[in-house]
Amino acid sequence: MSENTYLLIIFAGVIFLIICLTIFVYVMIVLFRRRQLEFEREELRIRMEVQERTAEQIALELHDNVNHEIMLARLNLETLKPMVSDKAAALVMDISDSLSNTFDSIRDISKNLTQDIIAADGLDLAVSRQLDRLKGSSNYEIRYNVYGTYSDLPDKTELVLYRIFQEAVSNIVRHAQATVISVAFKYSSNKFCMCIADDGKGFTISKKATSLTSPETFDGLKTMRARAALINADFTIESEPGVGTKVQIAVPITNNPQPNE
Amino acid sequence: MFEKALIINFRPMLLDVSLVAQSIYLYSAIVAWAGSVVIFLLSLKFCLRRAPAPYMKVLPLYFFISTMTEIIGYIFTLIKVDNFFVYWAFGVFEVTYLLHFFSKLIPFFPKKLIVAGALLVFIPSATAFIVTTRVRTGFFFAAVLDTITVLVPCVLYFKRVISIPNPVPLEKDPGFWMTTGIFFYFSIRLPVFICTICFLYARAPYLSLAIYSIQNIALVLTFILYTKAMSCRKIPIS
Repeated sequence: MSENTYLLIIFAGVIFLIICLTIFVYVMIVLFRRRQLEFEREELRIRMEVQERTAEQIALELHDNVNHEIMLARLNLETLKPMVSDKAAALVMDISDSLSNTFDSIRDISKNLTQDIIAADGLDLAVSRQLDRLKGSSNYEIRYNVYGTYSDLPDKTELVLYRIFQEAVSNIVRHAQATVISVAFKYSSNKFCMCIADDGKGFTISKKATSLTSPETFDGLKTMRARAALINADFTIESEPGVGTKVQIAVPITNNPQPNE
Repeated sequence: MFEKALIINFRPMLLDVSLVAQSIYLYSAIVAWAGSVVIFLLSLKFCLRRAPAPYMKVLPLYFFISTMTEIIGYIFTLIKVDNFFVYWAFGVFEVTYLLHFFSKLIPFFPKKLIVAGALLVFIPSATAFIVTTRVRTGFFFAAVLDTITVLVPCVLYFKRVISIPNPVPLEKDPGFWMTTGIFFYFSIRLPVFICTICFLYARAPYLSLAIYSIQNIALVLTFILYTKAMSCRKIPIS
């Protein structure tokens, strides 16, 4: 055997080992990441499900117990009214009206907490109602537009989109100091886009801060991103200080059921 | 390690091999041995007080015994004493110690398996030695069983990391790099061992040397993986 052949055998052997080792490590890391992503999604799904159940439980308690008590109090006030002087009767009427308003508010909150709002009204109407309430507060100029032809989305997808919308609006109200809130629904043949934008103070957004797993991510963003991941939606957020923030969620429209449902 | 015993004991035959082949083997062996000393020193620095994970603390002793075995094996050769026994004893120690390492790395790893693994290597090889009265036969059994026994927990570990959630990314997990190193080295060790024997008996010592030179470089790659494991950040205890 010549020396060159000998060297070639050794060289080839070493290269072969390095390639095998690299492929092995790469495959392991890819497999690991894929599995971890599945675990994270599953964990998120369970967490969201627990949140929904808890919210439903609270809604049920509010509806069945608190509102029941308010209703009884109103009935008692009605009974009391003929027994008291005119001045006191006026006061009783005031209290009764307040209780009536509280009753309505609790009913709305209760409805908002449950999945029924989507099942009964659909995403479009539910969002429109929420925006009407915001408009009623006279603090914001509301712009709500729907583009394209309406396509039916699965109830679960609509519920997740509604929760993202609630989170986004809640963030605007709490942090943005905005005057205009724009919501747009865009339907196309293969995807649905929900866009929520404001003209508030905005913030600097780092790449890390939008990641699902990064500890630097804001809780609200993390929740929205996590919910979007549950329905295989693309979640994007754009923000700049002094310019405002824009949150966009794109969901594929398929005739087949969603994998997470 | 085991192949080194073979190579050293077949020395006269290897003198017929070309000078280039002998030089490559010699230099690769020196590099591998220097690597084992370096890895031992690194383990003293990174695996005791600053260990990235508790299971790493058991490693310095393993690297120390491994390096010492090489030295003792070489001394035995110099004084013309059969060194198979040294490597056989190391084989039993190695399987016991690596199983002990895996028992710390893999949760719920049954402690019984450490004893079972040690006995699995010790009993057949000791029996073979007693029956045949040849230390080489016992050594052969020890080498084969040691390799197989260590590969099993490696596979269990890999299966585990891709089937249950892990608190840290795999590339930052010292356990992954350690196990990959062990798996890499042991999975090529058995074929190399068998090839070395076959080529030596087939009177093709240059091929034995070539394969063993490759094995030495593989050992250096394994040390790089161990170094990577030691350089990982401290992982949170879950």
